Amino acid sequence: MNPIARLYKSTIGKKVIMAVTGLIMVFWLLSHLGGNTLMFLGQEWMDAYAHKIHNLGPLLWVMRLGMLGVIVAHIWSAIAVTRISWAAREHSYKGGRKTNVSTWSARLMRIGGIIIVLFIFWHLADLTLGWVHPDFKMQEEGGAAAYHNLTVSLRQIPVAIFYMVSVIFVGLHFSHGIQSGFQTLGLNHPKWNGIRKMTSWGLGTLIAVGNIAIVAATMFKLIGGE
Amino acid sequence: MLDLNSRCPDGPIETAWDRHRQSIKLVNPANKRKYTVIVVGTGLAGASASATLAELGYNVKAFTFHDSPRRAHSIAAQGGINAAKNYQNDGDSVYRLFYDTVKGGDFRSREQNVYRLAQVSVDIIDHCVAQGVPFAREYGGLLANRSFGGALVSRTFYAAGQTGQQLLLGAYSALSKEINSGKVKMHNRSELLDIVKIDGHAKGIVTRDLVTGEVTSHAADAVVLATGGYGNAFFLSTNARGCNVTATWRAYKRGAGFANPCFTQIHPTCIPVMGDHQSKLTLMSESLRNDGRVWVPKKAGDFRKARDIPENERDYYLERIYPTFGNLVPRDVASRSAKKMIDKGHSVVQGGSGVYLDFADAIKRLGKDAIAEKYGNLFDMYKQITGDNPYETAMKIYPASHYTMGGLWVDYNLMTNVPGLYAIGEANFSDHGANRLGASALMQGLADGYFVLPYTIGDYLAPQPHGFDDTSHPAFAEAEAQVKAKTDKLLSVGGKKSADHFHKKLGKLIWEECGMARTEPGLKSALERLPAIREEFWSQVSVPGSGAALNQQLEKAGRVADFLEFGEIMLRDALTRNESCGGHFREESQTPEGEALRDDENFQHGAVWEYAGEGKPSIRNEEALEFKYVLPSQRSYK
Amino acid sequence: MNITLKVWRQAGPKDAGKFETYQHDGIVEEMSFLEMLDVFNEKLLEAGTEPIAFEHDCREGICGSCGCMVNGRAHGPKDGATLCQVHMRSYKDGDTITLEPFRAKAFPILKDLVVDRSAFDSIIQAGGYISVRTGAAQDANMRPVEKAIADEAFDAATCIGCGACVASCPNGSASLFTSAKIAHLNMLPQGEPEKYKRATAMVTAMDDAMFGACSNHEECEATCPKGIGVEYISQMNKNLIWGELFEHDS
Repeated sequence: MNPIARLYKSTIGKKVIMAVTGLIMVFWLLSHLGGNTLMFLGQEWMDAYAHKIHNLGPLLWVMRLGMLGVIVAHIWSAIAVTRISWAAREHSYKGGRKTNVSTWSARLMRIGGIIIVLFIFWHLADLTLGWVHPDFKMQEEGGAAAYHNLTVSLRQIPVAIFYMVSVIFVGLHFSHGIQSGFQTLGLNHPKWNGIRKMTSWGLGTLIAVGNIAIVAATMFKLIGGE
Repeated sequence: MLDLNSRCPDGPIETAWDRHRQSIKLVNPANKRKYTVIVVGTGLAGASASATLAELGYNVKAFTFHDSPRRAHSIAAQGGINAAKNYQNDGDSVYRLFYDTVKGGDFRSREQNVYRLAQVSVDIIDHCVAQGVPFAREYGGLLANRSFGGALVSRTFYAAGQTGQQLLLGAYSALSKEINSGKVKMHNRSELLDIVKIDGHAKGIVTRDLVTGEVTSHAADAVVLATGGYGNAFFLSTNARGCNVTATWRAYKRGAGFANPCFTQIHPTCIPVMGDHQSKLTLMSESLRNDGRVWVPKKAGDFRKARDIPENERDYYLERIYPTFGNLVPRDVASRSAKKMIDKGHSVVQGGSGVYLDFADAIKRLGKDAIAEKYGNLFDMYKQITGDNPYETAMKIYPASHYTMGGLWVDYNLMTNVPGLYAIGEANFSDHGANRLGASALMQGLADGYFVLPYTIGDYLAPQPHGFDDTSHPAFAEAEAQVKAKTDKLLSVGGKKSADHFHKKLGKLIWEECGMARTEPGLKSALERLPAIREEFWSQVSVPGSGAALNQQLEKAGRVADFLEFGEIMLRDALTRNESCGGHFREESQTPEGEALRDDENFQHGAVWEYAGEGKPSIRNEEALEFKYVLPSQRSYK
Repeated sequence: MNITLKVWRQAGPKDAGKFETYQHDGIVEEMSFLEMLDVFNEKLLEAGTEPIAFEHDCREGICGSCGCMVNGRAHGPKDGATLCQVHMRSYKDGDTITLEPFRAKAFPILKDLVVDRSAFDSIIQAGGYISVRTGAAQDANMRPVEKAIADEAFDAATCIGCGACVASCPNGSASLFTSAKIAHLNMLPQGEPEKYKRATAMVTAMDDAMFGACSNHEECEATCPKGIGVEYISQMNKNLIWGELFEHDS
């Protein structure tokens, strides 16, 4: 049997898939945040960046399909693991179960995951496909669409709030997911656990605060002009 | 009369075990898989025996009343396990371990058995390390040892204060391996309620499934009992609550001799009883006496706080009476001295019994940190149970029943006088005589299970037809009917009192009259009072619920009923043994200084009780003991 | 001291079960928790009712028999203690104590607070041992083991198999139990040869027994009476991943 398939058979194997795909997405989202911060530098920078990405041609599609695969694998294994855990907890405590050390971020992983999926759909429909966008401009050769699209979208208050709530969940997902992913992959050592957890919280905070800053700045017209 | 031929090999003791192994019959390897052995109990002795028998090729049916074989009470042993490895180069040897054990047992054990125990002790350590038991190690990576129980050499191997746990988990893992291989069929939550004999041979057992209540017969070619000791006859003891005499008692009633039931060990440093609801006693390691000073107030009935009693009003009685050994006198001496103080009214527990074990001087001398380093976990345990902080106030301690040296009589092959019925571990009587040394119980359990029984059982099995598997024999039906009748009887008494109520009554009686010090009038009076408790039990006990389901009260009541019968031979054995030896102290037999006085002329033997039938007094048999290597001498610790 | 006991009563494995509320007075603070239940059971018995079934044996925190959820926490309020090591001085007059059995698909309830934890045995049977025959071993000191490693193996080996980790886990996972045994054996040179085989076999048995998946909430570590840490779970994962990807011989 294929080693990966054999590994996937166990609950731990499913978790490994979740951890690896999760960590790939962490890198992807951090670079996405890096790109987004160009909003602060102004339209030229942002559009030039969008333009570069757009001009990757087939490579862009490789990346898109790769990301799709990663996301599907992540969700697929998350569902599989959740089903196993729900089956194991078939009978819940009638008198309640106290939580002692479990964090909110850990407890919000499943619900957060669902919110994030919904957010991704909206985000693609909004800024990639323009289906739900009030004034969507297609990215054209030499055009200046990204900055415009983003500014227009985020000036709608409900949309901005949805974006902000979603990235908070992304941040929470990060702060449990990263350390949990390392733990799942066998990277736990009492001497380094402080750093593992700090990094996880730090990156969670960064992804949430960074993205909220961009959304808020746009919403409050600190960037993008009148 | 019982046939008490010990079958010990003659000739030099150093080669006795080797010669014996060469002379006993072996089962053809191809035939081993045709034999089935029942092993009851999964403590150190039972689990190790089951695993090793299975490795050799026998089919094993193993039984435990626990939910898992890992729960047996061997798990609670703290101190360590002795082995004559001489890794410390301090002059230890097989002979010295043998010598210490015979002398420590106060010359009431069989020399050949003890010598063999000392010999195989070294193999136990090798095997346990190979199976992954994480013994304490030195920085060089080699095994660490400590001196234990006043031994003059460091021969005790340990794993923090949880040696019993680690050794049991080792044996349990070996057993688990064989369950996985299919050679052992494990029956959890199954309690032995009778032993089945066919033509005089043990050929099976009857058990009750503790979940469904089903009574079932199991047939085999031999039966091994590894069911532990009877320390809970005292009700309050350091034993687990489930420990009981039922298996060995049923074996006794099927004809197996019960040897030296009066040999019980009382451990001097346990947390005293507080109030009347206490369910068990907790042992505090003996090592505490290395730095703690034992005292009571000079004035009887002085219940001021320990710190409020000035130095000149304290009686450090162990230091006073035994200037040489002081607080480090052996277990039995320390226990008895405490009792004497209490009897004179010097208890430090109001309405109860206890003496002080005080660390104030040690803390002053060595500093609190040094004491915490040595005894921190014990102090924490004490605080957790009593609520008192031993760094600030003296600990209260009192002796408690801890281990039983008596048990089913066995020969050199560990077979009882019933052919095909074996007893190993604490369940037999063989190796500790009248007193067990610290760190020797684990050694004996594993010696029996790993290295002795698996070989000696072949001597019995080889000439036997193999593959007995016929539970349709009328002997099984008869035993099952008896078991069911007893269960029904317990369920139908319809009284108001719990089984525990009667167990407490029995325990109090045995503790008072057959505990640390025993007298003829006391034992006679106890023998007169015991039948009344038994009768009250059978007319007043309440066992609600049904026999066809999980019923803890029913389990408990059955065990208490057996203890109530067993108490009789314990008292009679103590009464007949009109001498003091080891854990058995008869006040009539003491030196002018109040020390135990043996009577070798009349009592250098094992007393073996034989069942004579319902309502008839048990018959006392004797197995004479010979000492050719370690010559009997009087112990003195002054 | 007077206490209200809310106890899960369930006559048998197939019974639905429900909470019963009782008043229990005359409790003194030196009583251990289990002695408090003993005394209460005597009362029930005198009233002709079946006492509460609960598992217990050594009553000194080492056999692993006792344990249930006490006010929603496995083994009650104290860190690093089994239920038998809790004393009534941890409570005050008028408190309500809710007792519920450990719950998990793999731990079916047998009666009241008694559950069947034999799934743990099946995990050990799958590989929780070193395959060595009695009498085959070399001298114990032939192979030195670094003290730090021996000590850590011991720490992992102190697991008492009580099931609190499973009971406390939001997912009903037995990862802490399984990993502690794998870590204990895999860490030692004696356990090295079967390292990967052991990890695969025991994890498979754990999954087969219908335990849930670990999602690193670390509730197990917080309620483990022996303080066993989740780093062993990570080590187990590492052994499994490496074994499956590189050491599998099929």
